[in-house]
Amino acid sequence: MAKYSRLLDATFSALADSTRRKMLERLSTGEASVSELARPFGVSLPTIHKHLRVLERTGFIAHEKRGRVRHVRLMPPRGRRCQGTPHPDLRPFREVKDWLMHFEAAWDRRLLRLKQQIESEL
Amino acid sequence: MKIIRKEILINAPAARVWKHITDPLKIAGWLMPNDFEAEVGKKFILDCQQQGKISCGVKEIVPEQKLVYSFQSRATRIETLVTIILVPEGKGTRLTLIHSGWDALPPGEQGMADQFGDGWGSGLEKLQLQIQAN
Repeated sequence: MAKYSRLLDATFSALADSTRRKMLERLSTGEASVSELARPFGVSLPTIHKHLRVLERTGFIAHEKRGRVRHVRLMPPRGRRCQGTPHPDLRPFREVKDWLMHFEAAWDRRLLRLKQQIESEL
Repeated sequence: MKIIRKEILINAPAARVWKHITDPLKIAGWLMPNDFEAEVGKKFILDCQQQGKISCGVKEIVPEQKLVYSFQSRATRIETLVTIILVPEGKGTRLTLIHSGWDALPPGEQGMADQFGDGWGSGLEKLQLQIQAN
Protein backbone atom coordinates (compact mmCIF):
# COMPACT_ATOMS: atom_id res chain seq x y z
CA MET A 1 0.00 0.00 0.00
CA ALA A 2 2.98 2.31 0.49
CA LYS A 3 3.26 2.83 -3.27
CA TYR A 4 -0.18 4.38 -3.23
CA SER A 5 0.70 6.89 -0.58
CA ARG A 6 1.84 9.92 -2.49
CA LEU A 7 -0.76 9.81 -5.22
CA LEU A 8 -3.44 9.04 -2.66
CA ASP A 9 -2.41 11.90 -0.41
CA ALA A 10 -2.82 14.24 -3.37
CA THR A 11 -6.05 12.59 -4.53
CA PHE A 12 -7.67 12.64 -1.12
CA SER A 13 -6.58 16.15 -0.35
CA ALA A 14 -8.13 17.18 -3.69
CA LEU A 15 -11.35 15.44 -2.66
CA ALA A 16 -11.27 16.71 0.92
CA ASP A 17 -12.60 20.10 -0.19
CA SER A 18 -16.38 20.38 -0.61
CA THR A 19 -16.15 23.07 -3.31
CA ARG A 20 -13.93 20.81 -5.40
CA ARG A 21 -16.27 17.87 -4.87
CA LYS A 22 -19.21 19.99 -6.02
CA MET A 23 -17.24 21.09 -9.06
CA LEU A 24 -16.59 17.45 -9.95
CA GLU A 25 -20.27 16.68 -9.44
CA ARG A 26 -21.19 19.49 -11.79
CA LEU A 27 -18.65 18.30 -14.36
CA SER A 28 -19.99 14.76 -14.21
CA THR A 29 -23.05 16.14 -16.07
CA GLY A 30 -20.89 17.58 -18.86
CA GLU A 31 -18.17 20.14 -19.57
CA ALA A 32 -18.46 23.73 -18.41
CA SER A 33 -16.69 27.02 -18.88
CA VAL A 34 -14.77 28.36 -15.90
CA SER A 35 -17.32 31.12 -15.30
CA GLU A 36 -20.21 28.61 -15.44
CA LEU A 37 -18.36 26.51 -12.89
CA ALA A 38 -17.70 29.49 -10.65
CA ARG A 39 -21.28 30.81 -10.65
CA PRO A 40 -22.90 28.60 -7.97
CA PHE A 41 -20.07 29.11 -5.48
CA GLY A 42 -19.96 32.88 -5.20
CA VAL A 43 -16.18 32.91 -4.83
CA SER A 44 -13.57 34.92 -6.70
CA LEU A 45 -12.17 33.77 -10.02
CA PRO A 46 -8.63 33.37 -8.61
CA THR A 47 -10.05 31.01 -5.96
CA ILE A 48 -11.82 28.96 -8.62
CA HIS A 49 -8.61 28.80 -10.65
CA LYS A 50 -6.77 27.54 -7.59
CA HIS A 51 -9.31 24.72 -7.15
CA LEU A 52 -9.09 23.91 -10.86
CA ARG A 53 -5.30 23.67 -10.68
CA VAL A 54 -5.54 21.18 -7.81
CA LEU A 55 -8.06 19.05 -9.73
CA GLU A 56 -6.00 19.20 -12.89
CA ARG A 57 -2.77 18.25 -11.12
CA THR A 58 -4.41 15.17 -9.60
CA GLY A 59 -5.75 14.11 -12.98
CA PHE A 60 -9.46 14.64 -12.32
CA ILE A 61 -10.00 17.24 -15.01
CA ALA A 62 -8.51 18.74 -18.14
CA HIS A 63 -9.08 22.11 -19.76
CA GLU A 64 -9.18 23.37 -23.29
CA LYS A 65 -9.11 26.96 -24.50
CA ARG A 66 -11.53 27.86 -27.26
CA GLY A 67 -11.20 31.48 -28.26
CA ARG A 68 -11.09 33.36 -24.99
CA VAL A 69 -13.09 30.84 -23.02
CA ARG A 70 -11.57 28.06 -20.96
CA HIS A 71 -13.65 24.89 -20.96
CA VAL A 72 -13.22 22.28 -18.25
CA ARG A 73 -14.18 18.62 -18.38
CA LEU A 74 -13.66 15.41 -16.41
CA MET A 75 -10.72 13.38 -17.65
CA PRO A 76 -11.67 10.73 -20.21
CA PRO A 77 -11.12 7.04 -19.54
CA ARG A 78 -7.51 5.98 -19.77
CA GLY A 79 -7.90 2.50 -21.07
CA ARG A 80 -8.59 0.91 -17.71
CA ARG A 81 -12.23 0.02 -17.30
CA CYS A 82 -13.88 -1.79 -14.48
CA GLN A 83 -15.29 -5.09 -15.63
CA GLY A 84 -18.89 -4.65 -16.56
CA THR A 85 -19.21 -1.09 -15.34
CA PRO A 86 -20.79 1.51 -17.54
CA HIS A 87 -18.87 4.23 -15.67
CA PRO A 88 -15.82 5.70 -17.32
CA ASP A 89 -12.84 4.63 -15.30
CA LEU A 90 -11.45 7.96 -14.23
CA ARG A 91 -7.91 7.34 -13.08
CA PRO A 92 -7.86 9.08 -9.70
CA PHE A 93 -11.25 7.61 -8.88
CA ARG A 94 -9.73 4.25 -9.64
CA GLU A 95 -6.88 4.90 -7.20
CA VAL A 96 -9.38 5.73 -4.47
CA LYS A 97 -11.28 2.56 -5.24
CA ASP A 98 -8.11 0.49 -5.00
CA TRP A 99 -7.41 2.11 -1.70
CA LEU A 100 -10.87 1.26 -0.34
CA MET A 101 -10.34 -2.30 -1.49
CA HIS A 102 -7.13 -2.42 0.54
CA PHE A 103 -9.16 -1.15 3.46
CA GLU A 104 -11.73 -3.93 3.10
CA ALA A 105 -9.05 -6.59 2.82
CA ALA A 106 -7.26 -5.10 5.83
CA TRP A 107 -10.39 -5.44 7.99
CA ASP A 108 -10.75 -9.07 6.89
CA ARG A 109 -7.19 -9.79 8.00
CA ARG A 110 -7.52 -7.88 11.25
CA LEU A 111 -10.78 -9.56 12.27
CA LEU A 112 -9.30 -12.95 11.51
CA ARG A 113 -6.32 -12.04 13.73
CA LEU A 114 -8.74 -10.91 16.46
CA LYS A 115 -10.61 -14.23 16.27
CA GLN A 116 -7.37 -16.20 16.46
CA GLN A 117 -6.05 -14.05 19.29
CA ILE A 118 -9.18 -14.60 21.41
CA GLU A 119 -9.63 -18.28 20.62
CA SER A 120 -5.98 -19.15 21.31
CA GLU A 121 -6.20 -17.55 24.76
CA LEU A 122 -6.67 -19.94 27.67
CA MET B 1 -19.71 1.97 -1.36
CA LYS B 2 -21.53 3.67 1.42
CA ILE B 3 -20.21 1.27 4.06
CA ILE B 4 -17.80 -1.57 4.64
CA ARG B 5 -19.50 -4.29 6.66
CA LYS B 6 -17.78 -7.36 8.05
CA GLU B 7 -19.03 -10.17 10.27
CA ILE B 8 -17.14 -12.87 12.08
CA LEU B 9 -18.20 -15.55 14.58
CA ILE B 10 -15.81 -15.90 17.50
CA ASN B 11 -15.88 -18.92 19.80
CA ALA B 12 -15.77 -16.96 23.05
CA PRO B 13 -18.31 -15.11 25.24
CA ALA B 14 -18.94 -11.42 24.53
CA ALA B 15 -17.19 -10.38 27.76
CA ARG B 16 -13.92 -11.83 26.50
CA VAL B 17 -14.30 -10.40 23.01
CA TRP B 18 -15.01 -7.01 24.60
CA LYS B 19 -11.64 -7.09 26.41
CA HIS B 20 -9.85 -7.63 23.11
CA ILE B 21 -11.49 -4.65 21.47
CA THR B 22 -11.08 -2.25 24.41
CA ASP B 23 -7.73 -3.11 26.05
CA PRO B 24 -4.93 -1.21 24.28
CA LEU B 25 -2.44 -4.08 24.56
CA LYS B 26 -4.94 -6.55 23.17
CA ILE B 27 -6.02 -4.12 20.42
CA ALA B 28 -2.36 -3.84 19.40
CA GLY B 29 -2.33 -7.61 18.90
CA TRP B 30 -4.89 -7.63 16.10
CA LEU B 31 -5.27 -4.02 14.96
CA MET B 32 -2.46 -1.51 15.54
CA PRO B 33 -0.38 0.07 18.31
CA ASN B 34 -2.68 2.57 20.03
CA ASP B 35 -3.46 4.61 23.13
CA PHE B 36 -7.13 3.66 23.34
CA GLU B 37 -9.11 4.50 26.48
CA ALA B 38 -12.65 3.18 26.88
CA GLU B 39 -14.33 6.47 27.68
CA VAL B 40 -16.72 8.46 25.51
CA GLY B 41 -15.05 11.63 24.22
CA LYS B 42 -11.47 10.31 24.55
CA LYS B 43 -9.21 10.88 21.56
CA PHE B 44 -6.75 8.19 20.58
CA ILE B 45 -4.31 7.34 17.84
CA LEU B 46 -4.02 4.15 15.85
CA ASP B 47 -0.44 3.96 14.63
CA CYS B 48 -0.44 2.51 11.14
CA GLN B 49 3.37 2.89 11.03
CA GLN B 50 4.59 3.54 7.47
CA GLN B 51 1.08 4.42 6.33
CA GLY B 52 0.78 7.14 8.93
CA LYS B 53 -1.36 7.67 11.97
CA ILE B 54 -5.12 7.51 12.28
CA SER B 55 -6.86 10.00 14.57
CA CYS B 56 -9.79 8.50 16.42
CA GLY B 57 -12.32 9.53 19.07
CA VAL B 58 -14.59 7.34 21.18
CA LYS B 59 -18.23 8.11 20.34
CA GLU B 60 -20.25 5.45 22.08
CA ILE B 61 -19.72 2.61 24.54
CA VAL B 62 -22.24 -0.02 25.56
CA PRO B 63 -20.12 -2.54 27.52
CA GLU B 64 -19.92 -5.96 25.88
CA GLN B 65 -22.35 -4.85 23.16
CA LYS B 66 -21.28 -1.85 21.16
CA LEU B 67 -18.26 0.35 20.52
CA VAL B 68 -18.24 3.31 18.13
CA TYR B 69 -15.28 5.49 17.25
CA SER B 70 -14.47 8.09 14.63
CA PHE B 71 -11.62 7.15 12.32
CA GLN B 72 -9.73 9.73 10.31
CA SER B 73 -6.69 8.68 8.38
CA ARG B 74 -4.34 11.62 7.96
CA ALA B 75 -4.04 10.73 4.29
CA THR B 76 -7.77 10.89 3.54
CA ARG B 77 -8.76 13.65 5.97
CA ILE B 78 -12.24 12.22 5.60
CA GLU B 79 -13.72 11.39 8.98
CA THR B 80 -15.28 7.96 8.90
CA LEU B 81 -16.98 5.91 11.62
CA VAL B 82 -16.15 2.44 12.91
CA THR B 83 -18.95 0.61 14.73
CA ILE B 84 -18.34 -2.76 16.38
CA ILE B 85 -21.38 -4.71 17.58
CA LEU B 86 -21.24 -7.90 19.64
CA VAL B 87 -24.20 -10.28 19.75
CA PRO B 88 -24.09 -13.60 21.66
CA GLU B 89 -24.67 -16.56 19.38
CA GLY B 90 -24.69 -20.07 20.83
CA LYS B 91 -21.56 -20.40 22.94
CA GLY B 92 -19.83 -17.74 20.91
CA THR B 93 -20.19 -14.13 19.83
CA ARG B 94 -21.00 -12.67 16.45
CA LEU B 95 -18.91 -9.57 15.84
CA THR B 96 -20.12 -7.12 13.20
CA LEU B 97 -17.85 -4.32 12.10
CA ILE B 98 -19.27 -1.43 10.10
CA HIS B 99 -16.95 1.17 8.63
CA SER B 100 -19.16 3.99 7.35
CA GLY B 101 -18.91 7.62 6.33
CA TRP B 102 -17.36 7.18 2.89
CA ASP B 103 -20.16 9.35 1.49
CA ALA B 104 -17.75 12.29 1.42
CA LEU B 105 -16.32 10.71 -1.72
CA PRO B 106 -17.85 12.16 -4.87
CA PRO B 107 -20.85 10.39 -6.45
CA GLY B 108 -18.90 8.98 -9.39
CA GLU B 109 -16.67 7.13 -6.98
CA GLN B 110 -19.57 5.85 -4.90
CA GLY B 111 -21.24 4.36 -7.95
CA MET B 112 -18.10 2.50 -8.87
CA ALA B 113 -17.48 1.44 -5.31
CA ASP B 114 -20.98 -0.05 -5.09
CA GLN B 115 -20.12 -2.27 -8.00
CA PHE B 116 -16.80 -3.34 -6.63
CA GLY B 117 -18.62 -4.07 -3.35
CA ASP B 118 -20.52 -6.84 -5.15
CA GLY B 119 -17.24 -8.25 -6.35
CA TRP B 120 -16.18 -8.81 -2.77
CA GLY B 121 -18.85 -11.45 -2.19
CA SER B 122 -16.57 -14.22 -3.38
CA GLY B 123 -13.69 -12.95 -1.25
CA LEU B 124 -15.89 -13.08 1.83
CA GLU B 125 -17.03 -16.60 1.06
CA LYS B 126 -13.40 -17.69 0.87
CA LEU B 127 -12.74 -16.05 4.20
CA GLN B 128 -15.68 -17.87 5.75
CA LEU B 129 -14.41 -21.23 4.47
CA GLN B 130 -10.98 -20.42 5.84
CA ILE B 131 -12.38 -19.60 9.26
CA GLN B 132 -14.53 -22.72 9.36
CA ALA B 133 -11.52 -24.84 8.38
CA ASN B 134 -9.52 -23.48 11.34
